[in-house]
Amino acid sequence: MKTNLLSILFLLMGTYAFSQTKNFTISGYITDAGSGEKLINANIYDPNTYKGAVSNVYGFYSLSLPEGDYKIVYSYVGFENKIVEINLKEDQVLNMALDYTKSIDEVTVVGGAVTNKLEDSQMSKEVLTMEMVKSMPAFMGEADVMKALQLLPGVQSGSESTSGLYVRGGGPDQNLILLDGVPVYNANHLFGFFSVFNPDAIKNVSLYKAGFPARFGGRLSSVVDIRMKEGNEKEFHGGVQVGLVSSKFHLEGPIKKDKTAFHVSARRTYVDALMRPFMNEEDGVVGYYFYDLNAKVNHKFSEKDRLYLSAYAGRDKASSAWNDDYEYDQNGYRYKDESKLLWGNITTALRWNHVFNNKLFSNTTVTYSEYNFNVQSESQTYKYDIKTDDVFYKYKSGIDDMSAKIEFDWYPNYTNNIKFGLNYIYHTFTPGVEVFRASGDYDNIDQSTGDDPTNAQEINTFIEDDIILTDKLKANVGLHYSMFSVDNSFYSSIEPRLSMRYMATDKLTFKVAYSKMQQYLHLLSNSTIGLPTDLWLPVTDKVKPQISHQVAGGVVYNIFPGYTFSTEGFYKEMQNIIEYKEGASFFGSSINWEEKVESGDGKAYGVEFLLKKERGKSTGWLGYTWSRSERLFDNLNNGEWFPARYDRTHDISAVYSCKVSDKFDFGATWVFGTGNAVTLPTHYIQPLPSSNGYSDLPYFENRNNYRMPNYHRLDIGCNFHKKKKNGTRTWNLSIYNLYNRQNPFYLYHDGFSLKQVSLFPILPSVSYTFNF
Amino acid sequence: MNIIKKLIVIIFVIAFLSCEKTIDYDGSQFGNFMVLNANLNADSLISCGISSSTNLSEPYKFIVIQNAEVKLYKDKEFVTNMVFVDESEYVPDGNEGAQDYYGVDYSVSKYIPEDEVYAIKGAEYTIEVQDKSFAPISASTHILEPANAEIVSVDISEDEDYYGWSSSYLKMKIKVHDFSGEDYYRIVINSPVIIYNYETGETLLSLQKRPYSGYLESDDPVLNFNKISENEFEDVPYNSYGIFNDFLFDGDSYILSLQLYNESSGLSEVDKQMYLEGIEVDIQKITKGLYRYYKSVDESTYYGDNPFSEPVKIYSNVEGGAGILGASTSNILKLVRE
Repeated sequence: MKTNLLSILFLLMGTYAFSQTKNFTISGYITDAGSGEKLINANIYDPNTYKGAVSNVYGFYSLSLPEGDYKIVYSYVGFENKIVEINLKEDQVLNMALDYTKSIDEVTVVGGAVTNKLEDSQMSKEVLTMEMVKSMPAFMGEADVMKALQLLPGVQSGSESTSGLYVRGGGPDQNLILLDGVPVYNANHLFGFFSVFNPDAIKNVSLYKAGFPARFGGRLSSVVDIRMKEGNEKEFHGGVQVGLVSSKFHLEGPIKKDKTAFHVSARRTYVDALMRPFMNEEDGVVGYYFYDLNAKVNHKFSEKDRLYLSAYAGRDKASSAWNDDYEYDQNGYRYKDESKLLWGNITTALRWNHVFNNKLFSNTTVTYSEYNFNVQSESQTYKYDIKTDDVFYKYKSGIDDMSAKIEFDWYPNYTNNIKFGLNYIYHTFTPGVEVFRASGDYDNIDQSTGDDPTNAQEINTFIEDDIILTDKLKANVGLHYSMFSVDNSFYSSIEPRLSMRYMATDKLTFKVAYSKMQQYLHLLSNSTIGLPTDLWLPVTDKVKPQISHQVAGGVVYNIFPGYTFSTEGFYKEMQNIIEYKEGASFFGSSINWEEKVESGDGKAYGVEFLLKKERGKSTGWLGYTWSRSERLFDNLNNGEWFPARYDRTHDISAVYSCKVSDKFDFGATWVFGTGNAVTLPTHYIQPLPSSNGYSDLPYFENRNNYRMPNYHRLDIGCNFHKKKKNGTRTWNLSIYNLYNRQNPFYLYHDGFSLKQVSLFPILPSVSYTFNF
Repeated sequence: MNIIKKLIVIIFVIAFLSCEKTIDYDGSQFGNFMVLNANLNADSLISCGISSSTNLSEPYKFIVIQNAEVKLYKDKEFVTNMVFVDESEYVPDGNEGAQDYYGVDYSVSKYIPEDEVYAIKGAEYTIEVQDKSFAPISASTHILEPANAEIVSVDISEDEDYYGWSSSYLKMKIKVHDFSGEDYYRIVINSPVIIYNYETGETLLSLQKRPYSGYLESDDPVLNFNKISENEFEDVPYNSYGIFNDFLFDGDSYILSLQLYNESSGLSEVDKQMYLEGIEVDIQKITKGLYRYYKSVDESTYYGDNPFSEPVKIYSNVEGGAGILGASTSNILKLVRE
């Protein structure tokens, strides 16, 4: 099987060898003329022959054509096309700056050009621009990338308003979330109600649900590739926003014009500050905040060399403190208690882009990623100001990665775009470590429990080729090979990837894809919401790597300009996925975690429909997904299939955005989803008589046997813009859950009736933004 | 971990405007079914209890099924029909006086063979039940050979209880000789009844035996579901049935250590001796199904109140319904050699 796949791969890659003619190459960067930002996935093509290329994630392109005269078109959604006449008789470097379109009718706010989706060999990929994300109604005034992704077919949230992703029946641990190529292990603030991605710092988001290019690996269900803004090379710009729960600012500009630019943004919530006046230490003081910092600097050393340094730091802190004065045995006592939870991510990437020649581009990256979680609690008892008891507790866990990566983009000719590379990652897993110290009545206890940090090494290498096989047939074929070593365990995987399109007409494309993925990390989590206690752990001898095989097929049809209809069917098999044993729960401790989980299989299948309007004043989409996601474990549910917790049969999302004028725009989103599957007792049964005193027993036949009520919600929002002397001010008004639907967060039976706990009723919010 | 839980709960309460309401329970999709319960004791009369489940949407009321057609098979050969009896004198497994507060005394109603049938060691028994209101059910079990065990030592000594008070304990070591292969056991202590007369303040000893009503305490991993390390004991339900398996000593001998509160400490010296002589330690060999059932009952009850735990399904080996048809074979050891 492997030999056959390799043969096909190299046969396809070898096609370029037979198409060698006298060709010359046009190459360069495509940028936004206003800011100098690199444009990703911009099109370059010859309109007569339809031969073309697409810029890569660093804005670089290379197009080889036979000698001759051409009118080359440069286009990018939302920007004016540029046509350049070229007499091609030698290799040329053409850096192209495109201007933002001024015509409101031509504004395209939904990412992903129609032509790209038709022509791209990649399937199951969606692109979101920040314009679209910001035009959607915002929860508590906070535009959120992850929540926008949840509105796409095949993607769903776990529970009410959380930003976790469940893609095509996969779990929240099966998403590779990359920020400038660096994995982010916990993308949640405040239990997932906000994501860690500040939209002011983000340029572009791509989501892959299937047909994964070989350059990605390590997760089963999706890749979320988020690119940060690089900074304006031309002039200074910035903005501030003040909202109900947070404020933020961003600033970008040239350090040296057209050479060095920066972008910096920050965000902080201030619920703690708002609550502070209403609390005192006697009654107890509690607080919560999170902040984000994003920064990026890039410097162009020459036309061939550019260096980028990007960083993200985010942290959540929750705390409580209280005092209690009391009398006991005619003595006066004071008890003081302080507790705090801290968790957050840090990511950094140092990247060097180098153009060897007009056909070979390289990207070398060194990255660091860290996620850590800490709990600290301290209490003292004083007897007439003399300390009598002192208790200290600390818990910490986390993961950090250091990696080095080199990737090449090689454009040997018009028909082939070959990418290959190597990536080394050094993981350090810090499972839960607890420290407990006590003195006074506690006989001076000082103990630490928990496992020592575990180190693991991972190597990934890949090669992929985007091949034009015929005028109508294009394929992206690749191989991903990975190795993972931890303790005495070693695993490796050869993962073939294929994504192919057949362009039947200039409006109709058929696509198929296959991918195998292998995942060496498991996430221990105690619920569907993103709690900070979630713990990443490596595979072991006993708990094997997760593996998936996914096939997908679909159609893209350009109904008429600006309107696209696409549908995709998929079938995904998963092996070695984990579920908790009955009774097991997880709260941050990795001790004996292998004994708490079962390994088993899963499958997910479904059909997705997406009707998108991408041009004009009004844009948006209507998406529908029918899918099933099931699990099979030898020791759960009598060894029979049962629905996954996030199995959602029907999922509908409607997104509408209308730019009425330069002064006013509004948007609305409506979502509907089948209720989540939960395990709920259905009966009481009589126990076997015994002396234990059990009089009745709650009983259920199958795991996840009951459906929560369906979920649906309407959000609306509008923006009022006004040009001021030094910039533009925007008032945003949003209403979350407009018709006040009480959606289920969780259910329980109290012995008499079924109770539903809901989180958010109708929630209006307002924010003020000033951009300059 | 409790601190983490506490803080998270606090933050949830503060940060979110949660609300709770009662919603309709769609129980129509889950019809009621028959529940068969029986623990066939070797060399004892066979009997079983049959009741109906109660759908969560219905008011609590257990219905004892009285007119079912019940057939008993031995080694797949039909033996006899079983008939319903309501023996108010009958006390199953020591559950005396357990009057059901739902109005049905299920503990004193049972099905017994039309002719007296004793459970024979080595035989497999199947019970099939049909009733016009329910889907038919059936279950099988086999009767095991007794366990090979002996009491190694008994000691009465003072020790601190859970609250730090000094109390008298009966500490014993029991040696179990295990055969190769999966084996499941249960330890049941039967003791004389001590009756306290509140009017006279006198303590009397009745030689009528009943299962020991206190906690059977043990740090022995075997009696704690094979939890070896100290950390594993965290968040583990109490082994209220005294069950264990041979996972840690398959094919070997193993000495169990356990203790129970010495109820006789207030008795006269004569009565103390009688009390000790009256204690029986029943080392039962039980079927795997019965072990899993008892374990699931303990776990379901223990974890049921923890919203972060995965729910535990009550184990059943009854096809078409629920409940358990298990078997146990006793080996009764006397605490004091006569």
